[in-house]
Amino acid sequence: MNLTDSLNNHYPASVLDRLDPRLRLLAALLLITVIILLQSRPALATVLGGAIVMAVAARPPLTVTLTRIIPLNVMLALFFPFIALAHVQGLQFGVSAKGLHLFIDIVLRANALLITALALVGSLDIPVLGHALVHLRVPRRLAHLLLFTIRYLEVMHREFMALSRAARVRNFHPGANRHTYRTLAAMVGQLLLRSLDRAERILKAMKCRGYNGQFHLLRHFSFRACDAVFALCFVPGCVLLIVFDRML
Amino acid sequence: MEPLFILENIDFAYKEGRRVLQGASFDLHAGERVALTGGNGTGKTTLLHLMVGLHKPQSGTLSAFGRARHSEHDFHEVRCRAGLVFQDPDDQLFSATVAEDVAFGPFNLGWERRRVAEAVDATLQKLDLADFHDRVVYHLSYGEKRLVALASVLVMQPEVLLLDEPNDGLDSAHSARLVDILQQSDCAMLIASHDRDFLKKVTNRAVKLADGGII
Repeated sequence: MNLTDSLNNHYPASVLDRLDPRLRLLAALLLITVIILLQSRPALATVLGGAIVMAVAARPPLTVTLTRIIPLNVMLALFFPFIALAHVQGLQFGVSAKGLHLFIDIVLRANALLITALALVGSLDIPVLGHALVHLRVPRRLAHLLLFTIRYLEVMHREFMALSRAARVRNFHPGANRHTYRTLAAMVGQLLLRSLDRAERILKAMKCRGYNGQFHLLRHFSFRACDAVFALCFVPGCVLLIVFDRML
Repeated sequence: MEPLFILENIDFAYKEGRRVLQGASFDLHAGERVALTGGNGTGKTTLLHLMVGLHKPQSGTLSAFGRARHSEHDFHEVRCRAGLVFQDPDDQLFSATVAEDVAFGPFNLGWERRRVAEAVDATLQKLDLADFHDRVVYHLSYGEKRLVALASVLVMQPEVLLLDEPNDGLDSAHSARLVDILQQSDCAMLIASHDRDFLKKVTNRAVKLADGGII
């Protein structure tokens, strides 16, 4: 597996793929805002359930999902003593109810946020994501920076691997010494120089194809009936969640 | 008929002082397929870059498509009519997918979106790359990238093709496809290469760069 494979989504086709990517981004933004605003535990549990339903609909491969969810929860577990014990008063030792509740809220909220992002955004191909961002009027420079990064990350990685192989075949073993630092600095410097040169050559190649500062997009999206149905269910759903949350 | 390119007494040295071309003169006529040979560092790539204005000569005149060309603005038109294919396809292909990359040039020519999509499809079809339409560029093999880089220039329907070591690093199957594509094209060509067998198959005239001049 090469470096950029991890940028690609390996999700099989799903119901969510029929939705306009722009709508999926906006929906993710809306739901994330709602999750941040929720205060009551039942509402958080409901939204986590909803996120899981959407994630199941997006059909993410199990390994990809687990490699993202497990680290988050391991990290949260590491914080458990600090959160749950922080509310213990006086000299008594143990877990306080208040601290435990706070911890449960944090776990629910964090997982709901992550699963929402995985379901709605993580299942988009990165090039599609870039184009959806441009169409949503995100500053073009940022969106193109994203697209260029994806394209050239692999090339830079390959160049760095070539440098490191060249060092290894001449018996370079990194250690904590001056020679290692000097060699690594030279490699990073070389990588920077090569990247600058490459950037110049890319610009030249772009000019050769008539580039004059304007980017055009081949991919356009359309808002269709199924998008309208999704939006009509999704937005009231979010509103209901907030109302439900505030009533409790 | 007037030549497509006329280079007269071109002198060019890089900023760091390396003198590459000295009094180089060269004409390219319609229908010609010229082999450009010469040792490493004799200025083959430099000459190709000069012809589309990526470098400016220190002296000498360059005219293309019937007009003398000096400024960046002059060369914009030249670049739309003469397609340069770079040696390293990773320099040329910067978009995420094949179709987007091939569409980049036509969009710059100001074509309508539908016309661009049709031209992209037709060009990929012609080069037998139709299956590559939505492929992600960084997942292509080196040979495939080179063919896509050629497609990204051919789609602009150039009158002149400038190719920098197009055969370099290609296996025999990809090389044979490249020869086919070039033989079918009716563009005038200037092809810099070291590969004599390849040049013999695709060119009908040869020039050599040596000591800063063109023989």
